[in-house]
Amino acid sequence: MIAASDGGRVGDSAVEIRALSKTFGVHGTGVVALDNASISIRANEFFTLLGPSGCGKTTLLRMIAGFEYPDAGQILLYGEDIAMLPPFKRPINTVFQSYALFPHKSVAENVGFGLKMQHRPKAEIDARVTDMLRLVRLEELRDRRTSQISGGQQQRVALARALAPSPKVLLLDEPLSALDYKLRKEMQIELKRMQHETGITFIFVTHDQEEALTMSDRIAVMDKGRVLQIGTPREIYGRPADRFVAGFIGETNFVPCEIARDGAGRVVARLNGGFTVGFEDAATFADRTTAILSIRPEHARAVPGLQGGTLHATVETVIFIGTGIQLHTRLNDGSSFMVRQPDFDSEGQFATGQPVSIAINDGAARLLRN
Amino acid sequence: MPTVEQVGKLRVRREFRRRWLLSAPALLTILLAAVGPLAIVFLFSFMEKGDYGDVKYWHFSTDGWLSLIFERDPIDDTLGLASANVQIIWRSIKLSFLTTIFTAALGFPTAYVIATRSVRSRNTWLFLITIPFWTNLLIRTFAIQDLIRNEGLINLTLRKLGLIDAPLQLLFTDGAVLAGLTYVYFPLMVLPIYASLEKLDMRLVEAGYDLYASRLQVLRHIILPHAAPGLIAGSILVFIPSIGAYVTPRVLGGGKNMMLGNLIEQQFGQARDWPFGSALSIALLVVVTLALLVYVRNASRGSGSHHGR
Repeated sequence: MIAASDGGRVGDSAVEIRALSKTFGVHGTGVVALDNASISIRANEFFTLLGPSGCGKTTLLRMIAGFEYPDAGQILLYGEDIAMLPPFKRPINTVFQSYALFPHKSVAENVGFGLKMQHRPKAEIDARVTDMLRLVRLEELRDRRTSQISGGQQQRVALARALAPSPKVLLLDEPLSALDYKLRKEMQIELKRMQHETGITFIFVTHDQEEALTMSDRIAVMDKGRVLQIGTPREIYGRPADRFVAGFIGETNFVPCEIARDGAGRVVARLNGGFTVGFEDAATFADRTTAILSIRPEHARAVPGLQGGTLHATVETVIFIGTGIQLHTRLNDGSSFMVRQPDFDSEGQFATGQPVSIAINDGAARLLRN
Repeated sequence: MPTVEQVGKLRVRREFRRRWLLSAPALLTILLAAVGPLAIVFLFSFMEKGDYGDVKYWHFSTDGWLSLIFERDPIDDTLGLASANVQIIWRSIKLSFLTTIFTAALGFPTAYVIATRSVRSRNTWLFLITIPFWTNLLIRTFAIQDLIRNEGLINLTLRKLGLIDAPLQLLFTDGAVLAGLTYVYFPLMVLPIYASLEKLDMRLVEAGYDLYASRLQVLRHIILPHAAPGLIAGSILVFIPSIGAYVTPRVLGGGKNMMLGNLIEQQFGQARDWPFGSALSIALLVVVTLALLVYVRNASRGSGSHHGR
């Protein structure tokens, strides 16, 4: 862990979620929104909560903000438990999915609202509003009504408003989901820049794995109220902890296999058809059990014709994707397998119904439990 | 063959005629039922009063209007201040103003609670609010009278509990009229405020809390501005009928605590002074219209911008 820059002791996290649980509805019979979740978020980190809708990420964010209270567990902000504090007593601000800008108030009044509620002097508020509008590049819209500006501009006002009181942590609840593709790409870079410039810890919620991979320092993948894996984008993508994470982040092929030991006592995954993949670090898998191999499409390579020591498949569809081609094939056991590879000289090489041999890059396959 | 231009003109003319034909019944009703009678009342207010009611037609007189504030001494024919009338006018303004304040103070929290319930229970609550309308106003007012009279339920209970020795004089007081008016017009305040608050995005409230606004600050800076149109509409709906109220002051205020409505009724009844009654009616109309204009202008300006604290 790194030292918190905001006066925290060395080893402190900015936000520490400890065994947080929450059930909605009638006691004990409702929907479990969060199930014993524990996450440690470092200071100045761009941290993303990623998962499908209903996975509990928004509930967790709302609990950090103070809009929901946990049934059990703690939320530590630099060591202090804030789980039961009302939102207006937490030095944490939120950028809402719908922006939630105050109508009938000008852009400047929106941005200055938090400081005004804290009874800061007017001169300070004005100066801070100017700074914030410069940060989000909206200085010229200062006196506009929020109903008179575009969606992208509203998004920036929402950011400026949440950053103006200099919160210790900024929460972002799918803030880019309402923007079109191009604007979203722009804002992803902008957000990274702002996080860097302000040095504030960002906790970002999204269901878009691509967004999470490009923006985050670290990601927590969630499903059904549980935290499945926490790690850097590279770790999450390259070494998914389980089948759900592997399938949710990026595209992958799942191939069933059987566990065996080779002569050197190494674990070997035997695929249908006799093809085997060796693993150095899979000692916990017992012999003669079944498991799942996760193989990313870009880690496989297809060549026409049948060769030894490869997976054998039949081409179903060939799709040109600009940077290469994508082959949808079917393995002999009936499961589908996708290959994505550069398009050097493969034009016309692959056709529907053609048998192909698929080789897998060394160390690229990931062995997962069923 | 008519030209394109002629056809266009013809169509415009036909459209114009159809619009007038369609709105004619409504216009005619307004003309006959509202503008006509009002014009008659206006003319009556400037005529001499008849000996047994009615007026002496086309005998011009300003007596009706003078009677608003002055009274003619029956002996020496000089004008003096009609303190009774002034008192009634003042009481009417005071009570309807207080009724508006009271219904707003009670109606706003009620509307807020309803608007923040789930959609299904909202409808139940609204339904409950409208239940009093199912019974005739006169009957409900007599029911209140029965509750607060000297031998009524309230006094009886207080005496049985030993809290009082002699019955409290609740009936036939300004307070009784105020309570009655507040009760009667309460739904008319709740419904428009509810209509405004129903559209309030609760995420705005959350955003307020998130930005360090306390509960009171959220109420003042976010919820109240949002409820302003409803509060304005509700105030209008309560103030206007209150100032002209007849049944409630008659039953709960008795003869001593009359309001304008009762005074007007008296002129056309026992007092047989139609010009005075007409002048009172027109004066009431003018005062209400002016008050509304001032109020709406100020209120909409107030809710339109929130500069300063």
